[in-house]
Amino acid sequence: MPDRTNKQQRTFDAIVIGSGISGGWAAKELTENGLKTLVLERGRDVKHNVDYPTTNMMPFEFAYRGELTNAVKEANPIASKCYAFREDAFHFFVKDKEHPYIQDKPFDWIRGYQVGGRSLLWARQTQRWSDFDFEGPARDGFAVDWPIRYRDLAPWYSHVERFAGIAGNRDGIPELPDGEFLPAYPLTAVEDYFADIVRKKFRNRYVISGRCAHLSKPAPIHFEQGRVKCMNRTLCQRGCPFGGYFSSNSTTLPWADRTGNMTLRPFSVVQEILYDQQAGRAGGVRVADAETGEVTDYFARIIFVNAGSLNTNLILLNSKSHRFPDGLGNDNGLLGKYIAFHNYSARMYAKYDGLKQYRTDGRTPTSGYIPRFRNVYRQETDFLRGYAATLYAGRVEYRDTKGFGKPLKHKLLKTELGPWQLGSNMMGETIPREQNRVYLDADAVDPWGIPQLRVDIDYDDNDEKMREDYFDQMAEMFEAAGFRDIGREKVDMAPGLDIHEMGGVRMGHDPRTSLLNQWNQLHHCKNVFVTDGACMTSTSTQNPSLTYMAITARAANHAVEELRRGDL
Amino acid sequence: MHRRDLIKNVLIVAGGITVFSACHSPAGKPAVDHLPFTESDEETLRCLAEVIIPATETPGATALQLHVFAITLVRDCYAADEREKYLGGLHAFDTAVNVLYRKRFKDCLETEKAEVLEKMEEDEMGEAVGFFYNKTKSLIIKGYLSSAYVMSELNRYELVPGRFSGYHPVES
Repeated sequence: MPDRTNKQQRTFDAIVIGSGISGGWAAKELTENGLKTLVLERGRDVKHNVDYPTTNMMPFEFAYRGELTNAVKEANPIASKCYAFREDAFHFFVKDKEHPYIQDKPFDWIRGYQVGGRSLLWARQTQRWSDFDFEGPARDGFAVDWPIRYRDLAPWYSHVERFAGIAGNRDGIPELPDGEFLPAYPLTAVEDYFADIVRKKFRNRYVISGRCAHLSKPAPIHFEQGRVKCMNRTLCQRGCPFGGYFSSNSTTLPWADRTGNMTLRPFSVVQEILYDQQAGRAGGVRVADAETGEVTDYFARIIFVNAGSLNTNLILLNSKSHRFPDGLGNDNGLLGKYIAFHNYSARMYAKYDGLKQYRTDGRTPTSGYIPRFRNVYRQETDFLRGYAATLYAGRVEYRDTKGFGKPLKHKLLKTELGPWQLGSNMMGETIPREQNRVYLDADAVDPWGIPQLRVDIDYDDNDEKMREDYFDQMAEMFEAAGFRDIGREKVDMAPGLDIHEMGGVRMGHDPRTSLLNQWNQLHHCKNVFVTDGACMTSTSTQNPSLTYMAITARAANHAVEELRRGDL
Repeated sequence: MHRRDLIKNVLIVAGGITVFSACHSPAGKPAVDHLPFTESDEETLRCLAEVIIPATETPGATALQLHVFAITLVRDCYAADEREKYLGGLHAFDTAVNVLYRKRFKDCLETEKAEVLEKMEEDEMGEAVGFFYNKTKSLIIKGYLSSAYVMSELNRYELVPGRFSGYHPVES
């Protein structure tokens, strides 16, 4: 570490707060452009491969075969709701007591505090947005108009896709633009069959191979990163020894490190961004050492805030100054408001008796994906917007466990193939509302002296109506395909468990109604950029990470240009 | 987030034939820090597991330490009330065996053990014993199928498949 008494040694060209999926991209773009960049991560370091302790473990090497102990479950009522919080990966999750927050309404905040953040744990689905998404708020009259359109982001989608490695087909669907794809993962026989039925019997509805950040066939750039082909382990949450999927740890951070321009500082909890009243800009950040509590200031010409949506809100709300008494850039009082998420509270199931000559073999990192078809070209329903859905089908294996002794032992090694079983999860757009917000508690602080975040977020009527429509429409499509035993499941889950929390620092044209401009700069503090989920004006239905990556790369390159022009 | 969680169901069909297997008491201390299980509980579970998965031409429950796996899961992963219920069931089982044969399960003849297992398979020994037996059996089966031996020698687990097909022909 540099001598902390020396301000010069604590001064960089750029500071990036957070090393997750968007922070990693900011680090890569800024360092590649020659900027000396300090990357601050509140958690410990996780080096690619070196720090994946469970990655090569066989199932029988886990004492509990994947389960969690009761002590861990009881200590983590929130985190243990996440499907990936299991014996092989729970070391990559924030434990409930490590970072308290206050739930005005139930909100499951699932976090990963370590270098790489949740990029180690994400579901790796990467669908582009289209103008049907960017134009949503303006057309349908909610939130505010996005200050960007698809054409602004398209080249940056391409930029990040080529580097990250995205598998997919060029499906030619206007609602879900094609990208720079490696070969797609194949669907199963019944997923293909269903895709065919849907294409023939329904207008503007599609079932495609979900585009995902896996190296189905690595390009030279991926080998250069030290990554090789995805080996279909589907143990991604442990960290991948092949670098088969994209994470900050395997991809952007090592790349940034190689430029010689990155200083990565783990255990650095950012308390606030320091506003320099005289200069009229942010001067740096105040950091508490996560282990010792020691406070140090760091300085830079530009600051990228990529702490993860809600923590980005928290940092800005806590960055109070004479100029900004209610949080950095918060002249209009909207900071922390208009938070939204994805509505995952519905699933469907069915069985199919055909195509029994086939089964699956091996494992696939993706599944079928149904792009949003509701209210795309015109308003069709009594609710706004719509939903995408996953679609997966596989044969179920049955095992006869009746009896005991030698006959049982013999039977256990055999399985019988059942019919194809299908499942689908809804991924609904939620409408950002002012009352869905986060704010600072007046009294409670966290272990680093930062006010605790209060979370006040809930579903609304639109979400309920949308869920019923998903059930009805999927049932109609399932019936058209001759599926039987169609089941609808309302999933009792609080917002947050979708792990797609977005907004609070939304982009917009007008400083009176938004916090960020079209380049993700705070309207009132232009050298601060917010490019994680907090910047999202609306949520649409696509898994958001790819869009965060593209927005980040675009903003970072714009920042570099402005710096070169002397505008910042 | 997306998940491909194909459901692995278990279908119960008719079957189950008596099998005779030895239950030798191994020397030495219990293999696990077994509280709240007593050594006697552990011995009962070991013998019961060995009747469920006996040694044949391949290793059985004792050799694979499946009772240790079951105890580990009940001890560490069960919620307190479920663990209490399990232990209650185990002791109800001890009592029921004692009523039938005037001895402990581990001292029963192989024919007697088989008789008890038959009764439990048919759910004829009351709710507490039924709960205990069903939990134990599923733990022993889970431990067996996920044991290093089975996953390496009999039913090979692929850590690195390196392939996927959604049109794999079903062999008839």
